[in-house]
Amino acid sequence: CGFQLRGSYTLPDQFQQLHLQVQDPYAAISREVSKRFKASGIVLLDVASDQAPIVILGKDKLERTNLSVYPDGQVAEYRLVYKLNVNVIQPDQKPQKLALQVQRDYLDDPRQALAKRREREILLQEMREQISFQLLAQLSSL
Amino acid sequence: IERDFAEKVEISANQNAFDIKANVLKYTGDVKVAQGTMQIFADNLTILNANQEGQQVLVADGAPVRYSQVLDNGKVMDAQADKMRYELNSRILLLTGNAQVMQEDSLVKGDRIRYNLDKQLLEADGNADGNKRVTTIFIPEQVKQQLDDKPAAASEQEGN
Amino acid sequence: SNNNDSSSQPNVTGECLSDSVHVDSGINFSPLDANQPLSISADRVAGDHESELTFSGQVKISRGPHRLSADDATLDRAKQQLGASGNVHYQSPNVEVHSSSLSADANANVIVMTDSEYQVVNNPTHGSAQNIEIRQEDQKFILEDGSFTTCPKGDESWVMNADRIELDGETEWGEARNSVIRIGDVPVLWMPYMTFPLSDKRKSGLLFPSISNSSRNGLDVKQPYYWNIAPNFDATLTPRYIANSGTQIGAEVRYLRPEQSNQFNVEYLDSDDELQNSDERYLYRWLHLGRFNDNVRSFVEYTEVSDDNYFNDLGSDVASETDNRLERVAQLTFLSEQLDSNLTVTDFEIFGNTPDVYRQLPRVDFTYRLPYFDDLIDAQIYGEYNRFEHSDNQLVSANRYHIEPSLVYNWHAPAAEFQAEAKLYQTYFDQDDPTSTYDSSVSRTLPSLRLYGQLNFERSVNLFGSDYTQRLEPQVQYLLVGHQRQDDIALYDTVALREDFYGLYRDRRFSGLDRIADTNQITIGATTRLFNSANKETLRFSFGQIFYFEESKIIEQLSGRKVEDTSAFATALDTYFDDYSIHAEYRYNFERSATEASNILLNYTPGERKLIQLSYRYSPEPLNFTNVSGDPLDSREVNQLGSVVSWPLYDRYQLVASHYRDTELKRSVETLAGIQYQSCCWAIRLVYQRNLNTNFPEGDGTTADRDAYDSGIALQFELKGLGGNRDSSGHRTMIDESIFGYRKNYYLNN
Repeated sequence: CGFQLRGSYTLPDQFQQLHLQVQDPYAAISREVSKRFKASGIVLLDVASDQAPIVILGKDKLERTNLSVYPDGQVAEYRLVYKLNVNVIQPDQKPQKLALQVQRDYLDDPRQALAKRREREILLQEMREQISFQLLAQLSSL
Repeated sequence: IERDFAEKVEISANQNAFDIKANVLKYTGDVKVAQGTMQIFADNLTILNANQEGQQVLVADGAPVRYSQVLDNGKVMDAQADKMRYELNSRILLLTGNAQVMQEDSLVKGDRIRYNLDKQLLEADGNADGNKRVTTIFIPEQVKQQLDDKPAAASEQEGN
Repeated sequence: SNNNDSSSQPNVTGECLSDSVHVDSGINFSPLDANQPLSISADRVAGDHESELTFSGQVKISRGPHRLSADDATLDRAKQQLGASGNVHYQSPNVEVHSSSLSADANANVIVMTDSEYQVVNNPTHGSAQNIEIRQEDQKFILEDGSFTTCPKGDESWVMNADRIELDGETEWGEARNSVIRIGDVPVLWMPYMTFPLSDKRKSGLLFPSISNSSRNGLDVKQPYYWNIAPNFDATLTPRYIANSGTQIGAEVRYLRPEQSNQFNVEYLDSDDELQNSDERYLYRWLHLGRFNDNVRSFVEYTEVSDDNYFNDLGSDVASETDNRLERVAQLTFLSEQLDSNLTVTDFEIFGNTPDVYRQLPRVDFTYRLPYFDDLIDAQIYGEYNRFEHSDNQLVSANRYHIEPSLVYNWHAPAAEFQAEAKLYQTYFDQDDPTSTYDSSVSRTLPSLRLYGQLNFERSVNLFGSDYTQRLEPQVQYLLVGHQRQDDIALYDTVALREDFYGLYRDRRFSGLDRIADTNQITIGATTRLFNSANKETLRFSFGQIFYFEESKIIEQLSGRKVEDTSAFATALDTYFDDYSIHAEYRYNFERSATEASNILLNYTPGERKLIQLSYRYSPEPLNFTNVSGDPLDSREVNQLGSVVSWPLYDRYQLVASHYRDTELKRSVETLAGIQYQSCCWAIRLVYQRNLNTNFPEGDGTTADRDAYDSGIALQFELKGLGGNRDSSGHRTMIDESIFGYRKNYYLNN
């Protein structure tokens, strides 16, 4: 049916090397993004240079909205929305802004207040991994 | 400027002629006048009332006539115009036609400039029909600014 | 004038108002200004070259981008002063002023213009003033006995007149003394002193009172009043008149420093006439965010309310009326290259008669990452100590010690990915149980092995006439977790995780650490993606299922799930094409032939300010929940149909409508309809809303008779430019009224 194994990462070659500039060097998202970049063969330069692209991570943001309510009006499902704004500056080009967003839904239960906090921690870590994938994918479409 | 007036006046030119009856002295060709720090360069110079001491009137023309002198504050003043008339007794310099008066950080351009060397008062205006305007430009002394960065020097300059 | 020919009027959707009112940096007359010459042309010049020169006849002065023209001008170079008079026209990159006279002092960097008219450049903001003072040093634009409006000339729908208006370019705040705001020429608001934001950098929101009414509260008028005390210290005082309840006073004080920010909210109502013998109803809240250096962070969020129905009855900016609890957290975080650690204290206040819950007093956790051996292996040790306590001292309290070393081998290539993770869960429980149903000390050691493989196939394909690259990524994961009896451990922070598509590849079935499910399972699934010619992902469809080789003994006991051989078959779809986008999740449990939690969302956004959205959400009653009362109102099942429409009408109107319906109980959950009319400089919104109440029985068991629904109309009037918000279509502002619009912000400390 025409499928063959992928020969190479679809990352355009101008992104083979880049400088990752983060607001918060020890934040989990900075670590997650640099891990994902390294894993897909990107060389991370220590110093920004004008020959290689610069990827600037903004502050990540976590929001929660109500999705549905139970018949008694209490919230049933919440949606966690994890957002990350990234600026990509390619050599002698105007900065391009990527507004990345991933989401997870979870069922609330006031009897399990503590456990629901732990569930949010797991979902947040998963969303950080997923948003790093999304950043990589969107880089290849620049 | 007072000191200059006491100095001897030297004038050099290619030719000169003296009309005793009209009491007029004429110099033509590369005329240079010097009196102390005051200097005039012109193509032609006519001195009226040549021998009435202190009443002489210098009339010069050139492309352009140039006049320069060191003022009391130590600054050099350069002026130029198509025609210049300088009355020794009133010490008034009248520049007409593309007249310009330039000091270290300012320049005045106009059709007619009347400059009182004693009181350092200046009057300039465009011509009657108003299409010629008077322009004054204050040129920031970039070079001076960079050279001395001592605040003392800067404030002294500001006060002049 | 219902003028729908928008060409004659400036397009109001935002172009006619720049983000903020810029204040002029003023013209600098000191000739010593290093970079730009000052040139003056006139008909006549006279005076002493060194000190004072007078210019007359169409005087034109310019320096860099600044221009000044007048009939006459005098320049005193000694005193560094410039004066101009006779139809003076001053033009700078930010503002243009016509005045009768101008005087500028280069030393003090101040320009004063008398009886002048000003117009901000490329912005409709304009007005007049007896005196205008531009102070270049602190970027102030001061109007004395002046007027200010952001409406275009000739269409001044509102004007502010004041004895003194100060616009500060740096802090982007405006201050007005003894000001009157007129709409048309009717004075509507008088303020002895007020501040207003010039942009939404620091504070956006209504300057104007927001008026609404609801069946519960009757007429409800709130008037926010900003007080910009210092560049890093501001307060918002909000007196609020509620017809049925009384007068409430609210205050929000913000104290912002480089290394930490603090916000205090207080809302106080001495007694609520709507309730019999009601005592005070209050809320106070402290929010603290600290970042002392790259390594040390702190966070505190503490909220206290007087009673459980506070949010439901009175509403507050601090929480949504549908919240059923308050979470109080204090956290100190240390982050570094290898080691992260948190000290967290968590307390709860649960509304209604839901039983109280365990608190974490405190939790200390750390993650130590060994430096990469080489990029293939990640090794880390996670550890955690917890002290669990419960308000009911008959219930068990415990100290829990947990250590979790893990080793992950990652191998990546374009064609395939492989991950092997070995983990050891070592937990020790020291439980103090008055009823001694739980052992006093339990130790649990469970190994876990996870193997994950993924292949990446690709082909190009032509669909609906355009070329796509299709990628197919089969994913397989084998998970083995050891077994140990755990029913002698109480449940403190453990609940079954939602089993959606993302749950298929998780290595744990429960959150928290009181239960670790033994399992011997394999997950088989795949994701297929379509990338268009611009390499943008336009479709992603994933599916998968878990197959259990043995029955898990822990699962059944905790989640009530009958032992099954497979998980539900889970699918997730995300696709964006043209103006449509679809997000759908569907899960079907073959063994129970039942649909599990599923949802679908369709978005049609044909243009800016145009949206049609349909959604349906189904979530069955959780397996471990039985509707004891049998009353359908107590059911924990969700069958919710949602629709949202937002559409512009002509150029200046925006219609918004949303309706959410419970298809099982066949009744509406929320109906909202709003309309906004906006012109260049003001907007008015009318929003009708009827929504289900979240009624909690009173603390003392009595239940005040609250009706099931609350309905009301809100009128919002907004002066744009005076803190008007940037959502020019009003869509977001109107939708935010909905119980599904409320966005709670979680503050991320790591």
